[in-house]
Amino acid sequence: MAAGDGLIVMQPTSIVVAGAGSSASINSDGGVDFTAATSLSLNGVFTSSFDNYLIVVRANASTGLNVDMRLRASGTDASGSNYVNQALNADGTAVSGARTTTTVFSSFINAYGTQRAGYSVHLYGPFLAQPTAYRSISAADYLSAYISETAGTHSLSTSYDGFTMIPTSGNITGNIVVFGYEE
Amino acid sequence: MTLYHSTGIIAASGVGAKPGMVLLKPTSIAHSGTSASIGANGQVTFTAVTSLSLNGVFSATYDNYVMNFRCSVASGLIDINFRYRASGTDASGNNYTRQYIDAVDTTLSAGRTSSANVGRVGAVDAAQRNGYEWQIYGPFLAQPTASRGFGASSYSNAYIAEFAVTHSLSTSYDGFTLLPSASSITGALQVYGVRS
Repeated sequence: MAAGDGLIVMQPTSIVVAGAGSSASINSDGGVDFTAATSLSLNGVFTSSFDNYLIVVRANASTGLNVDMRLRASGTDASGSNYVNQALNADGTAVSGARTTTTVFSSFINAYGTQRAGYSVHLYGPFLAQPTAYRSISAADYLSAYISETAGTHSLSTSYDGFTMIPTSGNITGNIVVFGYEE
Repeated sequence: MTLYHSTGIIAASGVGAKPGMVLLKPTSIAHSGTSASIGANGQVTFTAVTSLSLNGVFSATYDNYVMNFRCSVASGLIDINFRYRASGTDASGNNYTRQYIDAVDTTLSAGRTSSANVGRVGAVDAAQRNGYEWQIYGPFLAQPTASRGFGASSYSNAYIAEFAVTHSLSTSYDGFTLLPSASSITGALQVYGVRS
């Protein structure tokens, strides 16, 4: 790796997976391969080296589900009602939006168990002791093709070093990798 | 530059210090229209093409890919369609489903097309430059493939047209073909492998 590479793989210092028959491992590239996860936590992926991060996920779901996300510090999820989400969805000819205040970044992933789904998530300043912003852009597989986007903010001025993915039901199988944007 | 991780110097461990996206060079390209060429680092430039195929850009090294694409159009508002490609042959069956959303001034619209024989990256116009990013999830894996195109179209000088596309076949693809729906396009593109 050299200066100018732009995006740097952030290998987790540790991971925690839950779910019957689930497994997860950190691969040689620094990404995480996971199977049948009902929750998956990545620790130590946000550091003082970078302000902003990109998370890329490909996943298959056991059933139609959303995957929520919580920021995490020193192994503990931030579970307070400090997350505000603005959703923008396109389903056939219907366009919809909604804003919610809740305990998660909601619909971090929409997956429907029919095909592959793919997601890119931008996180702005999670390690800084300031509020955090995020933006997800997905190709979801509901009715074979579905657009789901979310912009979110987390209001606490806390430094987070990781996050947890939490399917709302069922489980997910796939790969996730976190990149730091070189500064 | 030395990077430090909470576990120590990441370069010392041999992992975690890798570039996240790597510019890929196609093994070959094919085109219809005036010209197309591969640059020294892998960028593909093209002039007035009506189709452009890249071979050998997807491999077992990476799961996911990003294509950055800028172009001008000879005339009108057109779609940039695509087909995945294996060993020089396009996947032209009715296995693509695409969902779009677009914004023209205050008007939002959306629609889904199933059983299509092409996917779609975006919509570009002759007014000015157009720029798109196309995220492709798992094309080389022998599993269904998902992709997402979003960018800045110059129709009415600023236009949003985004696409989510799935392809249902469990086939491994090593490339793709871009197919302008009409007219011809001039510009450049780069394909990056995303470390996973």
